Amino acid sequence: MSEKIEDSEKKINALKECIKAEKAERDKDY
Amino acid sequence: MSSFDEILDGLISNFPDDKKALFLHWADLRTKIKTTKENYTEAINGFKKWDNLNQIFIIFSVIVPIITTSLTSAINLTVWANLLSAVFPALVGLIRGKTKVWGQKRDGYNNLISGYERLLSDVVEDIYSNRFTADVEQKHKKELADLEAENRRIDGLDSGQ
Repeated sequence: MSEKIEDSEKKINALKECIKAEKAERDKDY
Repeated sequence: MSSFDEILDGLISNFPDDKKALFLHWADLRTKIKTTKENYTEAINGFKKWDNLNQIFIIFSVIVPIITTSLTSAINLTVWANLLSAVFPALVGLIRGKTKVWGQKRDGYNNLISGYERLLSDVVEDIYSNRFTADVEQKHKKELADLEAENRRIDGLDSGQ
């Protein structure tokens, strides 16, 4: 159970990092 | 499928059923993100097309006065020279306007994608952490309404052009 919680927390952080990375990638189009 | 979708799918699949049900009300946000990404690609292409034309007309801005001056010196061609010098600035203005609008659409959709994605990740985090109270839900609904209003504004930027 605690592994599942830790995994979800990691995924939430990864999701936020992904938003930043994809925005930076789009900004390169300019 | 983007990395964002893959991570989100992995996250939601770990949710217990009651939280999955809560998230379902916000699943429509994923469609909005997809549509906004398509609009962004269209805006990028639109901007590039008009910007290329704009670059060509910047070069012509140097050439056209030389042509009109030489045409004016030939009396029979004065009408054509006048026509060219009247039409050309209008055309340049139109192309500059189009380039500006498509640039604004590109920037607007770019920010909107991040806005929708951030809202979705906040909703997921709040649901996951048991913080998704009625107040928090209202706050997120207000954020969504603001993003949708901005979306409509950007959609309408090129109307009437």
